[in-house]
Amino acid sequence: MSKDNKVDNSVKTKKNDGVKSDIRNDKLKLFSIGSFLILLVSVLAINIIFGLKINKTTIDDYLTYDMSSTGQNSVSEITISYLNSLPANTNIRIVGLFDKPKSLRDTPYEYIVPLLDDYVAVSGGRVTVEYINPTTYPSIISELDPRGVYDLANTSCYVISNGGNIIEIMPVDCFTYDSEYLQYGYYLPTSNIVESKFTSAIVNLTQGYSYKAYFVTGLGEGTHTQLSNMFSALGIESSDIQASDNFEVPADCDLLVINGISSDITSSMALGIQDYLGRGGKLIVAVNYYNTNVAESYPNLNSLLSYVNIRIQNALVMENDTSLQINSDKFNTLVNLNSAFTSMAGEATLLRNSYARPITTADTPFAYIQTQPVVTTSSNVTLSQFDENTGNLIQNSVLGQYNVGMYATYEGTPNPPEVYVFGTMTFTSDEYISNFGFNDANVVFTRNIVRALLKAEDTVFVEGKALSDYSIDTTKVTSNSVTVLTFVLIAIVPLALVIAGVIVYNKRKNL
Amino acid sequence: MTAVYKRELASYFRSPVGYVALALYGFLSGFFFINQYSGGNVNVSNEIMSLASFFVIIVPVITMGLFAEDKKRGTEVLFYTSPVSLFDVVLGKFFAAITLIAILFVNVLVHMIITAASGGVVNIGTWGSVLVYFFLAMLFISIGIFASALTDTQIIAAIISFVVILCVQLLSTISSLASSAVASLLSASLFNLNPEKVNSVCDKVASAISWLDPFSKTNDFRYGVFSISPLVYCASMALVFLFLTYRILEKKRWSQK
Repeated sequence: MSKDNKVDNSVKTKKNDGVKSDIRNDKLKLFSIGSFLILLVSVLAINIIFGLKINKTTIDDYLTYDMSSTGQNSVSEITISYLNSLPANTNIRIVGLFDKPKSLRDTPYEYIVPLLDDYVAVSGGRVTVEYINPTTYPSIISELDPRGVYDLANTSCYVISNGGNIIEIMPVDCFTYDSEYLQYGYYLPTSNIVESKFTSAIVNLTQGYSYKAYFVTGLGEGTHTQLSNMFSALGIESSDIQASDNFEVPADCDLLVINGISSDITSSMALGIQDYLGRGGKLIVAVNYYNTNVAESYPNLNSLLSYVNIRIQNALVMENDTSLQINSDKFNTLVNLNSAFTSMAGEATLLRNSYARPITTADTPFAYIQTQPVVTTSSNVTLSQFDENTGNLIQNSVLGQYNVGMYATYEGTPNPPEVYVFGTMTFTSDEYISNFGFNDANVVFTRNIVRALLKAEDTVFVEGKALSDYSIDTTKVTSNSVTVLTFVLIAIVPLALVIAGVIVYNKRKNL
Repeated sequence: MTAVYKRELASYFRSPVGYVALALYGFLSGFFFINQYSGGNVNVSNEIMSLASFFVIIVPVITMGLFAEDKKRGTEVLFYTSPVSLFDVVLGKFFAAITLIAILFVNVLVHMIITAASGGVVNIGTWGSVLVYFFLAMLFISIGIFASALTDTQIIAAIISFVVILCVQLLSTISSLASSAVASLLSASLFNLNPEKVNSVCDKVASAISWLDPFSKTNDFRYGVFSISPLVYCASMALVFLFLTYRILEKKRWSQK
């Protein structure tokens, strides 16, 4: 009876403003709307939960996996272990002084924005990333740089701040570029050094620069931006020191670099640097034989280098062994790395060389000076020189083996000088490092000799990353293949499908 | 559900709709591919994500007739009288549309084979784009099915889904516009707020709207970075629209209108 009553109640109708309706309708309507709302709220809740933070890291970050072969968007183990070694209360603030880019596709930010997100994800709350446009929030400039040292208002850069100090990084500087294209104003990236730049900035902010290097300038040398970048990534602060008659190597100099000078140092400079070497100084010299310096024999530089029994010859190395020539060029060749140094070049045994001068021992007769060849040509090399008057190449027909890089030190001395001399610029020039990137064997070798000179083997250093290369085999992409594919893919296939559609329509329209 | 699925899939090829969609898709994908191929650089991910932006056209074409056509012909009564649940009907139609999208995608698979054969790269980022493509397809098809259930006119269904999908695709632009609108409103002397506070509110409005944008959520997949939450977002939102469709169809059981 009670059941019947319930049925009766549920089917009874009501009169409301003249509209007759079933009460079950209202219940079903309520159920329908209610179930949808419950589902909607549940879905929103689930999606919002992904954004919640655990230990300052969102759940979404924990559930994100970089499966790219080059790990472009993930920070490396080196960075992770360094960040984890910092105290938990460390606050490294990365601020992009622009609106967060919405479309990353085919922009430098496609390599930067996701990587910075990963810094946040792996740092356990030590790193935060924000995008604050100074046009909208002018106070951010004084907040980051209260002393007004940097021109932050006019640069769309990233600023990394920690403990009141800041380092700025321009997105464009997070890549190395092909220097040939760069000459014409085109930026063709050759490698991605985003992580290297940001990690080194974090390291330098949190533990300070460990070493100081000086570049000798004012002698017709090229730029040294890439080498400075490399030094910075190794925790070495670099500055320039101008060539002059009252030249003096600063007391805080840990490494002196004479890189690509096209005119000789003065005799007083030679004495100043000799004094520096006498105090256990470390020196890297690199000169080649090309265009502006073919007439330069560097007498003062050689006088300085004789202190460590090394001499730079005024001649051009010409490789006759075709197996070592690059693109059949006798002046752009491969040279052998001395077996004692192979571990410093990632186990590479052949390195690149270009327009090199031979490096030999001088006649300094002291047994405590130890010299060692670093990179050597084949024994099938002739030397040549440009005739200053005619501009012709005068070739010496005598074959021989030559060093294009040498190392010298003093044996049995408590604080010995150490010197690397290269007769080529393929280890230190901006052009080379830019073209071949930070992972090239020559550049790896340079990095390791710097580390060895400064006894800085334990410094945090993140390798550059190769960029994704989407080029296809040009031998297979002929104009004929492009025409055929265009015809088939854009014309024949769509047209055939349209015809099929018309046929089907005609056959079935009367059904 | 299988019967509905088979019937709907077959119906695509019994009318010109399937062929037109295939032709349109083949032309677009071929154009994107040749454009890259002739330049000697082929990133299939770019092609896939460009095609995803054409969902705004493809999806309305595919989904406009799914329920609207049945309503117009009066065959929808079969859904209520056949021994199959309404949700199964919705799912059957949904999976048929997804299958058609998969058939369209064969074009891209051919391009991937040509790229690999030409010494190009088909990497994890490409497969990430494929995954995202199908999850976005799920989301947009569910919107299309929902639009089709709202009306008995195919054209109106197509217009509704076109507008909704277009709004979803333009969410980042809409967020900027909304942010500017809020800024104008709050900057009025009436409120007398600190400019940085105004900007902060605007940013929050913009990020709240951007949070809904499935494209920005799935951006990293094409670089080989896989994340669970964007996939959950697309799938769950698709579920919401499918459930809404189901409720709209079921409304006929109790509504007197």
